Amino acid sequence: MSRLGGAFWFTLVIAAVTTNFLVKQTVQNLDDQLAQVKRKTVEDQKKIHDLTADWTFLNQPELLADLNNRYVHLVPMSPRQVVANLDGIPMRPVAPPEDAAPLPVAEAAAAAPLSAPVPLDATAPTDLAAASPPTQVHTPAATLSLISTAHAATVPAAPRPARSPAAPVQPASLDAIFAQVAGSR
Amino acid sequence: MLSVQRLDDNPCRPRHFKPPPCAPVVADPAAAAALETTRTRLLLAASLFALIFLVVIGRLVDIVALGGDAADPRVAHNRLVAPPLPPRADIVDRNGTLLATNLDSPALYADSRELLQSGENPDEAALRISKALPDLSLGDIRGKLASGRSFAYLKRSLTPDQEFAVNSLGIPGIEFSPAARRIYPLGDLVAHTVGYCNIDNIGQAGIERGLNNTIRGETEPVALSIDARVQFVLKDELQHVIDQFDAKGAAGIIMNVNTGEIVAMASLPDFDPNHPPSTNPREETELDKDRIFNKITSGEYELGSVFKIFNTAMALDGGTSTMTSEYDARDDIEIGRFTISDYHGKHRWLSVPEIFAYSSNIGSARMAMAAGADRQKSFLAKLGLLTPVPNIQLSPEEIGKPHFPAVWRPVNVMTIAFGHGIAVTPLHMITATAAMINGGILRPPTMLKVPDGEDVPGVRVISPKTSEQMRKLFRLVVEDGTAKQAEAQGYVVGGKTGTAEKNLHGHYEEKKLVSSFMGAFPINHPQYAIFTLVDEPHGNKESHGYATAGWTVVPATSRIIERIAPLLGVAPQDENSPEIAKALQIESLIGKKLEYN
Repeated sequence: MSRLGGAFWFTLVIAAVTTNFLVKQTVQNLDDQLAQVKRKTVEDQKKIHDLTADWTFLNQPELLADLNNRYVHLVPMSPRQVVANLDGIPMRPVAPPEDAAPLPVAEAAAAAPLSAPVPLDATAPTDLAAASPPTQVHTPAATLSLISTAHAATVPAAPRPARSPAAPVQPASLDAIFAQVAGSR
Repeated sequence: MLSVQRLDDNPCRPRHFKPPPCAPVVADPAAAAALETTRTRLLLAASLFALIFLVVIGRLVDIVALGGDAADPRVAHNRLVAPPLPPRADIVDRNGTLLATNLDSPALYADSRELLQSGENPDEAALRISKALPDLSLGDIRGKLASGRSFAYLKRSLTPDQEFAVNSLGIPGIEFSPAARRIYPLGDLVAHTVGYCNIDNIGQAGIERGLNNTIRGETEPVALSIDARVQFVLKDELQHVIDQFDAKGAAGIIMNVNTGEIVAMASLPDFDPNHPPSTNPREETELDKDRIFNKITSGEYELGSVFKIFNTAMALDGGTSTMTSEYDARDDIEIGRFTISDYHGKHRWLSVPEIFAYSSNIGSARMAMAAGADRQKSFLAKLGLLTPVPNIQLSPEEIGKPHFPAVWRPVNVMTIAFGHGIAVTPLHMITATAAMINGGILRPPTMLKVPDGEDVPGVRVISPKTSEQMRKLFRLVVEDGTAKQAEAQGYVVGGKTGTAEKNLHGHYEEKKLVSSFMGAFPINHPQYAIFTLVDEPHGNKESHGYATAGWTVVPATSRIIERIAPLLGVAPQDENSPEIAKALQIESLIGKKLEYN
């Protein structure tokens, strides 16, 4: 009886010691890992901080303006280019050719001005688009026409994406486009 | 007892013989009771220990198996590796662009004792160091290395490259002490607003000085009301004016009229806060003084006609004039040794809007006389134009104190009506004007960002009706007055020009002008006010020889508005739309056309 008891307690002690050791070891490893991660975090934070300072330094408006003047020649946005609300965005102005199939909405918007010169909307004086160099764009409509004419001039013979001859209906509004898209599904 | 012993020790004892119980048979009842007590105590002690172990086991099981108390905050807190606190908080603009921060920049010092002990030759070491840091003098280094002292700064604020170069020399006794250096990544862009620090990281100017204690104690960035992009536009256009008109300097400030936030503030010429000019009186030059000087907050100017804004508002709000009142501007006013005359003389009776649009000094003087000295003085005091600007985040040394006559005589009333005989800072000017056009609420100017949508409390100084009349008058000046070139595409601009002769040693210099323009947009619902001034501009061919406000700062303001309005999120309007024109129309002028001679 007492031997059995002794064996039981001995096993229990060994088990407790082993478990204790293992748990302690795991905790220590995790602790080391944690400290390392934290050290790395602080290091990274410092690096990010230094890089932010560097980034801000390199992005000085004066420097950017100089680089712009030398390489890309962007001009400040004109107030006429700013559309204050949704009503200010003009609808697609012209119908595509009769054989045009309804394109996916985005593609349709991009492709539409290719087919015909775009009449400028009422707020945009026509001489602006004609007189200003391509960088000095003053109206959203003018932007469209400039890009589209430039595009048309450089790739006049570019093959159009194949279109099915069916469904020549020209949507009159965004609602109609949505209805069309919904109907085609 | 003897018998028991004998039995046990018996060498001839049979193998399986078990001796009888050896405990003494105690016959004595007293002894038996004592034994019983001992047993009970033993049992008690044993069960106590068992209980303790049970508690420990239970707790272990709880922690290991059941995960009890895993989220004790103290456990995690004790192990946190805290990053070192920065010596000063960062300063950022309203969009979070870094304006000031700290970079590690160790100081280099020599421990001469260690160097000499190591047997290194100080002359040779000095030579090698001076090659790595060419800006140090060789003799100076040698002296420090051979001094035998254990600490002498060789150079503070090393760049990473310099640190690497010195470190790779591997000279014993040459040590780095960790230090942080304040740097301003945008250089001179926001020099006057942010200010600068000395080598010990103590603020010397601007926000760095005004909020020195806050910045030293904080870890979170301090967000300013400044917008770095708008600041750039303002500075760019002011520099353009200086170049174009060969001016001595220029200054400008842009304020949100509904919150009092200063969105941009520039004073040219300026300086690079990373390398501020010396403020040592022995080395400081006139130019250095001019560069450090913030014209907006410290410069007191007799601003001239822009002051008619307050004169007109006072007369209209006090009821001493109405929009249809007329004043005799036929002849110059002679008072004492002064003669008050008009620049665009009409030599007839003028109504209040005409006086404002033609900028008639005579008419303004008569309006002020009708209102009286007390009313004028108390109105200007109410607008804060007679006291330094309160609560601004700058040290008192940088806040200008207005100059005005101690005794308010009639001649002073007349000259103050058109902005002479009183000197205020541009900051005063824009703060008070914001109240004139924003509906009549005076709000203190601030350089700290006001959270979006937060209402800034203010004091009502004029009625909303007077404020509306002022907006119409502002528009009149741009539409049909001295500031026609302020028209901006897409934005309805209003404003008032002022061209004042500089008062040097008691007399006015005809050729030395301070031309200024107080503008606001969109004037039908004002959001931002812009005040620009140019110091001693010279007329050129394009301006037909004029150096007045209308030719210098007015066109600049138009360009500034066109460039900054999209950045500030002000929706463009059709500035020529009939509705807007009708809303800003002055009834008494319908059908009349203003003419200039």
